[in-house]
Amino acid sequence: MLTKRTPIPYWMVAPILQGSGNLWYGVIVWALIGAVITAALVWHRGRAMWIGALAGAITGAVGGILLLAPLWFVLPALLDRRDTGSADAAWTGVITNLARVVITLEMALLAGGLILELSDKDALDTYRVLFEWGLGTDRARANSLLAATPIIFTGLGTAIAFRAGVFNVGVEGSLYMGALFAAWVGFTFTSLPGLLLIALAFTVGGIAGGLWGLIPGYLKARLRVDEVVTTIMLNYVAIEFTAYMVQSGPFFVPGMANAMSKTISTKAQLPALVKRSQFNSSFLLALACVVVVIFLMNRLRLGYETRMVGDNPLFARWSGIHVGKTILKVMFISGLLGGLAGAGQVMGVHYNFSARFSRGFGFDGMTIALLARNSPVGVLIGALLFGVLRSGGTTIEVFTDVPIDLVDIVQALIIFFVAIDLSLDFLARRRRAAADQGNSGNHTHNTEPEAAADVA
Amino acid sequence: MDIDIVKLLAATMRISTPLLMIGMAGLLSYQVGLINIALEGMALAGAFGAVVVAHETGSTWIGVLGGAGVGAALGALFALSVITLRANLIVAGLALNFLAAGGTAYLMDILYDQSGTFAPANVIKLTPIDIPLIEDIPVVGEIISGHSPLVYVSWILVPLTSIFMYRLVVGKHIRAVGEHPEAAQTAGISVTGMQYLALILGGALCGLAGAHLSVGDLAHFREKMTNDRGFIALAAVYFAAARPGLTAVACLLFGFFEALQFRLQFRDTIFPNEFLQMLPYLMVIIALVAISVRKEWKKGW
Repeated sequence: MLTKRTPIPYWMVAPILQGSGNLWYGVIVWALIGAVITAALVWHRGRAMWIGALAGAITGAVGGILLLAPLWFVLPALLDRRDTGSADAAWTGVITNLARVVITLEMALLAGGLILELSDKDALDTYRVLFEWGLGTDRARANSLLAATPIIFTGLGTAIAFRAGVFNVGVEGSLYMGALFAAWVGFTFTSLPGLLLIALAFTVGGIAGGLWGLIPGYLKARLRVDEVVTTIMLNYVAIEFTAYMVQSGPFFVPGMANAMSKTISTKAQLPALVKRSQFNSSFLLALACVVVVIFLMNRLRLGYETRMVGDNPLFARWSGIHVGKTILKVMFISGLLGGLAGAGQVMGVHYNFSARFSRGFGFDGMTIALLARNSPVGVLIGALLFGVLRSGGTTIEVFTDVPIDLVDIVQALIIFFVAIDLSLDFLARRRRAAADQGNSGNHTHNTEPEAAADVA
Repeated sequence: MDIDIVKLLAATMRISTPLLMIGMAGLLSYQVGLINIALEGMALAGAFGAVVVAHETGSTWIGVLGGAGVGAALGALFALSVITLRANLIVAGLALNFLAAGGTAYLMDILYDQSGTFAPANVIKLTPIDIPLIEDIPVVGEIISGHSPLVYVSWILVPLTSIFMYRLVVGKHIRAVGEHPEAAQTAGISVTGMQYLALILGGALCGLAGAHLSVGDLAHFREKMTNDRGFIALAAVYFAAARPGLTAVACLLFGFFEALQFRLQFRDTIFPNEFLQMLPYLMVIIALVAISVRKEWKKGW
C-alpha cells in the first residue's frame, strides 16, 4: 500500500472479528469495561458496587467467550433504563445511550452475518474487509470520518427536532437547499478572501436550510398540519427544485453534460486534512456543533423549553412557554444543521452542486438520532460507527463477492431494532402510567416520536 | 403543441395503474388510522417477487400472484412490527423501505448473479387485451382498449374498494377502528384484527402494483423500479383525504403529469419537468393546509 499502515487491534473495535491470538485479551478488556460501567450504574442506583462489578465481569466474560462481548451492554441497559432524576443522572443517560448505540449496531452486524452465512458467503472475511477498509489505515480512518461528517450534522438536526416532539423527516430537504446556496455563494462571491468566503457560504447554506425547515415548522405550529407528511413531501420538492436549478434553471451551465452547477472558487474549497483523502475541516465544524447542541440543550433557556415542549406540550403551555415559537426556533435550528451538512459536502467533497447528490444523509441522520435517542454524544458515536460502515461498505463489493446492498440491509435491520426497542420502552412507560392512573387506554395512534419523550 | 393527445391519454391509463393500486392500499391503511410509509417497499418487493415466481414457475400469471403474495407478506411483517411489537410507524415504515430496496438487490445478486436489472428469458409480459366492442370506437377505443390486463384490474379495484369500505361490514369496522379505536373496541370490534387485515390487504395490493410494473408492463425487474410511486400514491391518498373516488382521480391526475413529463422530456418547454414532478407533493401540502385551515376556521381560529 502507498499509505503508511497503522493497524488498530480489532478487539478494540469489534471482538467478533479478530483471530485466535488476541481472543482472551479482548475478552478481558471488554469484561473490565463492562464491569466498571455496570458497577457505576448499580452504585448510582444505590446498590452495592461489588454486585455490579461481579455481574459486569461475568456477563463480559461470558459474552466475550461467546464472541459477542458487547452484549454486556445489555445488562446496564436493563439495570437502568430511565432517568433517576438526580444531578449526575445525565451521565447515566450518556452511558446507557452509548450502550444502546453499540448493542444495536452489533446486533445488526450479527444479523447481517447470519444473512451472509445463509447466502453462502464468508461473513468473517466480509466484515474483516469492511473494517479493514473502514479503520485499517490512516487514509481509511480519514475516509470514515469524512463519511461520518454529514451524518453528524443531520443526526444532530433530527435529534433536536425529535427532542421537541417534532418528527422532522425533512433534514434531507434542508441539506439540499443548504448545499445549493452554499455552492451559489462559492461560485458567485469569488472576490472575497478565503476565510470570509467559507464563512459566508456556511452561513448562507445554513440559513437556507433553516428557512426550508421553517416551512413545515410554521405549518405545524400555526396550522397544526402533521409534520411527518409535510416533511416527507417537502424533501421531494427540495430535491426537484434544486435539480431544476442546475438542470435548466438559473445555475444551469451550458455545455456541462451532467446536472451540475459551476465549480466553486478554489478559495472556498475546504483543504483536506489528510493526504490522499477528502477528509476536511467541515468535520471540525460538526464537532463544534455537537458541543453547541449539548450546551444549548442543557444550559440555555431554549433547550429547557424544547425539552418541556417535547415531554408535554400542554404542560409547557400552561407553564407559560410559547409552544409554537419554540417549535419554530427548533425547526430553524434543525434545518440549519441540515443546511450546514449540505454546505460541508459541497465545499469539502464535490466542489459544486450536482442534482440528487445526497445518498440519504438525512435518513442516515434520522437513524442515528433514533439510535442515540436524541443524545448529542450518542449521535456523534453513532455517526462515527455509521461512517465506518458506509466507508468500508463501499469496498466490500470490490474485494469480496458480496453485493454492496448488504449495507442497506444492515441499516434496515438497525432501524428495525431501534423501532422495536423504542416500543419496548414505550410499553414500560405506559405500564407505569397505567399503574399511576389506573387506566389503560388502547392508543393505536403511536405516531408521535416516542424517542422524544425519553432521556436527552 | 404537437403532442398526440390520444397517445398521451393512453399512456396516462398505463402509468396510473400502479398508482391506483398503491393508492387503494394507502387508502386502506389511512382509513384504519395508520400512516403507511412502507407502500413503496411493498411494491418494490412485489415487483421482484413477481419476476422471480414467474421465472421459477414459467407462468406470468402465477408470477403476478406471487408478487401479491410477497407484498402481503411484507404487509404482515409491517403489521407485526407496528401493531404487535408497537414499533413507531414512521420508523418501521422507513426500515421496511430500506429492507425492500437492499433486499431485492441483494437477492438478485445472490440468487441469479445479476446486478441492476434482472430480465430472465423465460418471463414474458402479460398479453394486452383488446376489449371487443370498445376497441372499435375511434378515439375512446385507442385510449381505453389494448392495455395489459392488470390495467383493467386496477380500474375494477376502485369501485371494489369503495364497496368494501362503505358497504361491507368489514369495511365499516375498519373505518370505525380508524375513527375511534377505543369506541370500536368497546363495540366488540377487534382493533388489532382490523389493522392487520388492512395492512395485509394493502400489502397485497402494493405487490400487485409491483407485479404490474415488472411483468405486466415490461418483463424484467430493475433496482428501485418503483421510483417513489409509493410516496406519490400516498400523496394522492392525503390529497383526497382517503375517499376512493377522489383518490382514483388524484392518481389519474398524477399519472397524467408523469405521462406528460415523458412526452415533454426532449422538448424545450417553458414549464420545466422538475416542476411537474414536484406537483403531486406540493398539492398534498396545499390540501393538508386547506383541510386544517378549514378545521381551525370551524373552531373559531
